[in-house]
Order: sequence, then structure tokens, then C-alpha cells
Amino acid sequence: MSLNADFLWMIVSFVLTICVFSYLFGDNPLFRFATGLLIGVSAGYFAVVIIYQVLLPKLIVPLLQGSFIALIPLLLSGLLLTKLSPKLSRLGNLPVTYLVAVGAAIAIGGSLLGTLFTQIKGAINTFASVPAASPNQKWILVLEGGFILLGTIAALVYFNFSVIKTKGINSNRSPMVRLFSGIGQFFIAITLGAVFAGVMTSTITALIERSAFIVNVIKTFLGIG
Amino acid sequence: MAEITCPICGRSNDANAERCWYCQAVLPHDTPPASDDSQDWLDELRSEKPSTGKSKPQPDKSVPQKPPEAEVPGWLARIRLREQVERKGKSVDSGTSSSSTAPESVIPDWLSEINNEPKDKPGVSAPPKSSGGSPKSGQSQKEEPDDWVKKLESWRSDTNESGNPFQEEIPEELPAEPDLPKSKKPTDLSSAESSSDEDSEANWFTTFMQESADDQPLKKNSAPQQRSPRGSGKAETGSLAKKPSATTGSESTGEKPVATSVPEEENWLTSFKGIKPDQSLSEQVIPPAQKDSKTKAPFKTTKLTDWIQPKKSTSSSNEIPPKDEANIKLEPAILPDWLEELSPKPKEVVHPRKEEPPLDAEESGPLAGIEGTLQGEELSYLYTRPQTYSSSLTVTESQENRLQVLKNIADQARWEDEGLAQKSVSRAWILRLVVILLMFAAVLIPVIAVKIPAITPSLYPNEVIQTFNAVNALPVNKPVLIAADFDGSLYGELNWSLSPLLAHLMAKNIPLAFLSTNSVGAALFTQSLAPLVSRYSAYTSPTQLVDLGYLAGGSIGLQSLARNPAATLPLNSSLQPAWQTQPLSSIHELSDFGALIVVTENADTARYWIEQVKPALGSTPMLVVISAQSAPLLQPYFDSGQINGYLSGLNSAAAYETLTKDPQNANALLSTFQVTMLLAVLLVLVGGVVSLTLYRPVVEEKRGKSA
Repeated sequence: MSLNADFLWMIVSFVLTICVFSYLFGDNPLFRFATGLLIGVSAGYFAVVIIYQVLLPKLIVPLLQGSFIALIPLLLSGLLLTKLSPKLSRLGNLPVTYLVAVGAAIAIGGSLLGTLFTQIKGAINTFASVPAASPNQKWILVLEGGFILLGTIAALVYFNFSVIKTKGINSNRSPMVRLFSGIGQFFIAITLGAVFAGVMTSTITALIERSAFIVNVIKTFLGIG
Repeated sequence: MAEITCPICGRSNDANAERCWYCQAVLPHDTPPASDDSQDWLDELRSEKPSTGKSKPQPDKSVPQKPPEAEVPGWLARIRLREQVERKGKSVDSGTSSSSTAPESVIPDWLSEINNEPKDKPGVSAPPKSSGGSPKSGQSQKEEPDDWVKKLESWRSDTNESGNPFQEEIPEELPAEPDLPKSKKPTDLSSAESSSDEDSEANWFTTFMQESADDQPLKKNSAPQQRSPRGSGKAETGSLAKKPSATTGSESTGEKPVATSVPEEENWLTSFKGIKPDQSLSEQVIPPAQKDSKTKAPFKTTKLTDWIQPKKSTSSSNEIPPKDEANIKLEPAILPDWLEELSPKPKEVVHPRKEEPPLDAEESGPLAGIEGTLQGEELSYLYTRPQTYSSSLTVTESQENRLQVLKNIADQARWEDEGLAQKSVSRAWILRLVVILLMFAAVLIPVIAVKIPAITPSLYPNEVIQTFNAVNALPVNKPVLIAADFDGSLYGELNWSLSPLLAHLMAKNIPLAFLSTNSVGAALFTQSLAPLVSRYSAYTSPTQLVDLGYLAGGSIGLQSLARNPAATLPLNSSLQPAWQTQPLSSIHELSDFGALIVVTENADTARYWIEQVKPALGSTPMLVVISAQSAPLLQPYFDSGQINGYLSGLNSAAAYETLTKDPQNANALLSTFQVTMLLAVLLVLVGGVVSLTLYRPVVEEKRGKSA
């Protein structure tokens, strides 16, 4: 067993993994040390990344090369820093407004074109492929498409909590709405169950990966592997 | 006729009257009746006067006393005689009920006596002819001591110029009519009374008191009484007009001598005779109002005698004094006790006492020691207590119901329940320890001791097959852009899922360029490449592997990348131009890449890439390596064709390794994964069954306790 950088990093990783696993027995200093180290290293690494991969190539280098258009992000960034001062914080509203407006516009446009319309189109395509299918597959496609359509509509109806208020009558959702709401609740429960299963799968995979790492380290220390 | 003198006002009243007609005072009936002779009752009246009021002015003793006969002017004596005669006549008329039918030609004795009296009276000369200015009268007035008669003659002469059958017979000073100005003649007396003249009717009592006061010098000085023309006349006529008959209702018969409605030129006596009892009294008494422009003041104040002057000042107390006398301080009038008691006492105006603030001396500053300095505004008035607002919330019924549901959930999840806290902690600790041991056993046993064969699925997921096919279809000369947007928490899972895909790409010698929207993503991706680079040595060259570094801006950065990747990420991680050299020199747009592979554990990150970048890819395939926990959320995008395939979790990795026929870590640990997943499912199932069996809502427990 040679002492090299990989071995040192393996030891560090092993120790930190044990510190994190110690949380199985409750909160302890080892776990707090591992989490604090992770946060600090991540922040430091993020600062280095920002400086070397954002500020230098996109602001300083263009300024040094005489690109005056780089003054605009410099000015906006300077104004954004005024948010630190209560007296000058109003000056920071301009870049914040710019960021929020552009971000909202992009997000809305992407959601409409990339999710809403395409998902509607995907639901339609399920039925569109029915004529070209074989007779045995037609019913399957129709059922599949109908199931997806029913689940989509029912899930949307479930989140409709508004009712028409009538004076003197107990306001409640109509029976049809309540029926679709119940169906939507069923579909939502299945979805959340699937997500929970995915979360469990991910965590078990992570557990297996770390457990295998520990076993390998131990084998390395013991000279078994 | 018997009369009784009022002890209060001193006026004579009918003997049968119980109250004074003038002042409504109770009359004493033990007073000896006055004699029928007018002179007698006048004497009695004089004798009683001093005892009637204390405030009566004492007679001036310096003036020589004269016999009563000489003191009373003749006209006054005749007036009183006439009054007596009237009363007699009224009493006779009322007693016989024939007064209304008495012939006018029958002149009673008293009338003849009155008519003859002036001739008999030595002190009273014949009334002077005002129009003719008889020398007889003029001489006699100069000789007689009653100069006032001359004064009266001077203003009365105009009124009596017209011929009157009774004018020569009746003395000028006899009737009250001459005392009155023409405007106040009996003709308009009733109207004056009805209109309640302020100077006469309302103050008749005051006038009467003045008369009483004026009577004193009249008696003592034997001088005629100076009266206010209006006041005296009205008082006299008013007294006559209003004076009721104690024995008969003479008012109803209209026999008041003053109430005669006769022409102005006629004497009152003539009018008395001319009264017709069968006519309405108002018709006879109240003639149409006339205004005589020739009305004169009854007296000329400049010609008044000396003894009248002071009397005038006292009698005309209501008149406004001249300016030069305004400053003279008059002594307050001495009123009789009974009058003072009746008079309204002025209310004492109580002024609230204003407590003057104490004059505090300045204690400091340049004005120290000086009292009464202006104080500055106190600061306590400038500050008010801050207004408090109610923090109470209005909670609706539906909100209360939902709150109750949330409370029930919280109660069920609460471990540190009172009483059961220690037990719950110990039980939870034991349960946790058991689960940990089981999980570690399930993981370690297959790894360490027993080789458990994995169950390989015969059918592969569609997304894995599509991913495999997409990678197989990639051209070799086109680089593949990899977006490593994941962090260290799920690095192990993603690493296992990504490794077979990267191995497949490297096996095909496809150039790779990677970037990250996460600061640590690029570093983790480099860590994942490390074992593969050792296998595929070609990727040690920068022409096969390009690190574009960190892409800032989130979705905005993605949008910029989709529009112009070279401008968005012009430099690589070594700050060298990335787009001028291989393998990116031929890339101008994202669609120029062979494929886009997004590696992320977050479904939202994958969605951002799909929404912002996918439209710019065109027909370029987009693949996703994602954590198993986000795979369900990505399935709709795969079904809609927005992504060409994806790998999620260890199962997909194992399937992909099987497809590539390059088994690595995924297949090696697949058995462990399956065992552990089976154990986890069993634990969840058992836990659910136990929880369902032992489930007892906290609300029901509380209800049971309360019951």
C-alpha cells in the first residue's frame, strides 16, 4: 500500500463518511464537523469558481480588452451591492427588477412552450396513434390514453378549491367536482408513492455506494481486497 | 259714600271692597268710613298718608301750613267729588236697575254742585278762555298763588277753543281730558289700553307711586300736583276706566264716565251725559283712531315753577338724564319693605374663580430667579403613546377544521408527548437501531460474505433502450455536450448511472464537452471521468474532452446558451478560448452537437434544460441521467418525445450495462440493491400494518380521557 494522494483522499473520504453515518445515533460533533466542513468547502469552492469562471472571463478580461459593454454588468453588479446598505438599498432595486423581470419572462415562456403545450400535445398523441395501431393495440392505446387523460383532468380538478358562495346554502363543491377530485386524489397518491419509492431507491443506492466504499477502504486497510 | 283707604298705596277704595283696586292689597275694614263729604275723605286721606309708607317723603316743614281747603286745588276736589257722585250713581243704578233708562235731562245734584262749585270756591278762579285769553283769568291768576293753573291754561287753551255748551260751566282744570294730550284723549284710550302702552299701562303702579309722592308737597305746600301729562292723565283715566264697582257690575253697563266716545272737543262730562247705555260700550268708547298733528306737549318745562322742577325730575325718573347730569350719582331709591320683598332680586352672578397658576421662578438658565416667565412647551405633550393594534385573528370555521386536522397530524407525529416521552424516546431509539442494523446487514452481507445472485430483468425499460439507441446513433465526429448539474449528495447514484453511458461514449471515441450550472457539478463530473479516462487514454487530450466550466444565471444562462453557446461560454475552465479549437471549432449552435446529455438529480433542473434548451436542439437527441427519485417527474417529457431517453438509478445503469455488454459496478451491486430494497419494502409494509393495527387517533384518546 503506497501513500499517495488517492490514498489520502480515500482516508479523508472514509473519515468524513463515518462522521456523517454517526448521525444514525443522533446529532453529534462528528456529524456537525462533517456538515460544517462540507458547507465551508463548498462555499470556498463556489467563490473560486465564480472568480475564475465568471468574473475573470466575462467581466475583467473584456474590460481589459476594451469592451465597454462590460460596464453594464459592472454597473448593475455595483448597484446590486448597494442592497447591503439600508440607505442605498433603493439603488439596488434596478438590477433586482431587471433580474426578476427577465427571469420571470423566461420562466413563463419556457413553461408555456416547453411544458404546457408539449404536454397537451403528448396527451393528444396518445389517441392520435390509435388509428395506425393494430386492432388489439387500439383498445390498449385508448385505455392508456384515456387513463392518462382522466388522471390529468382529475388531478387538476382536485386542486380546484374555490366554490360559488350561495347565501343561505352551505357552500360546497358540486358532486361532479367532488367525484373528479376524489379520482385526482387517487392519482396524486400514486404519484407521490412513486416519488417516495424513487427517493427510497436513491437513498438505498447511496447507502450501498457508501457501504461498498467503506468495505473497500477496510479491505484496503486490511489488505484483503 | 263710604270709602276705605288702602294702607299700602294710600288710594281710596270702595268700602265694600276687600282688596285695593289699585294694588290688590287687603283692605282693613275696621277703618272708620270716610264721610260723604269729599273734603272729609280728602282730609282723612291726608291724615293717613304719612302712615302708609315709610318711603314717603316727609313734608317740608319750612313751608307754612295752610288749611286743607286751600291746599287742595279745586279741580282735584271736583274730580274726587265727581268720582264719588259716579259711584253713588252707579250704586243707585245698580240698585234700582233703572240707571240705563235715566233720562238725560235729569241732572243730579252733584252735577249741579260741581257746576256751581267753581263759582263757590274762593281759591279757584273761573277757567280761563284759552282762545280769548280772557283778561279776567289773567288777572286772577297773577293774584292767586296757584300759578300752575296758569301753566295749564297756556296749553289747554287750544283744545277748548271750539264751542262747547259745557265749557263755561265746567272748569277747565276739572276734567282729566285737558291733562292729556290730544293723542291720548279718551277717544283712543281704549286702544291705548288694549295695546298695552309701555309708558302708561304697564307702569301705572309706578305712576301711582309717583303720584303718591307728589301728593305730599301738594298737601304741605298747598301747591297743585305736577303730573306727567301722559302718565297722570292715563293713570287718572285709566283708573277711572278700570276701576270696578264693588257693588255693581258697572262695566257691563258701560257707564264708565271716561269710556264715553265723544268728539274731542266735548268735555268728559258732556260725554258722560251722552253715553247711551243701550249701545255697546266699545262702540261708544273706541272711536276711530285720530292723529292730531297739532298735539302739543302738555307742559312747557321751561315755564315750570321752581317747586315743580325737582318734582319733575323725580316723577320723570324714566327719562334719560342729560349728559352733564349723567355722571351725577343718584342715591338708590328707598323702597318700602313690602315692595322690596316683592321686587325681584337680581341674581348673583357667580363668576368661576380662575385659579391663577403659581408663578414659578426659573430655576436655571439666564432667567433664573425670575417669576412669571413664559414656559416652553412641555415635551410630554409632544409624544403620545403609540397606538396599539389588535393582534387577534378572525378564524373561519373551515380554517378551524383544517387547523384541527393539522393539529391531529402534529399530535400523532409528536414523540415527546407528556408522560410517554421517555417511553417513546426509548422505543423510537430501539426501533431506529433495529432498522439500522437490518439495513446495514442487508447491504454488507451480500458485499462481504454471501454472493447473492441478482435477478436480471428480461425486459428493459423503454427509456434505457431509447438512450442506448440514441448513443449508438451518434456520429463520431460530433462532440456530445454533457451538462453536469448535480451535487455531492447523490453523487454515488448518479455516478453508477452515468458510468455505463460515458463508457459507451468513450468506447465510440466521441468527443465530450461538459459544463455545469452547479458550481460543484463540473468537479464531480471530472471525478466520475477519472476511472474511465484511465481506461480510454484518448480522453486525456483536450481535443476529446473540453471543460467549459460553470454556466451562471440558471434558466437565463440556459436561454443564452441555447441562443449562442460560444458567446455564453467563450472560455474553458483554463480560461482558454474553447470554440476555436477541436472539438468545438465546428460547433456554432447547440444543434451542431451530436447529443445533449443532462446529468442531474433534480427534476426541475432537467425541466429547465428541456424548456429552454430543447427547442434550440432541433433534431439533436437529448438524453437525461437522473436520480431515481426524480424519474417519475421526468417520465411525461419522455412520453411526449421532448427527451429521447433517460437513465435513472441503479436498475437503469445495470440495464444499460447489460445492453452495452460491459458489466461494471451496477451489476456487481445489483444483488445488494435488490436485497436492500426488498428489506426496505418489507419494513415499510410491516410498519404500515402495525401502524394500521395500533392506530388510535390522538383526538379519540383525548375524548376517552375527558369522558
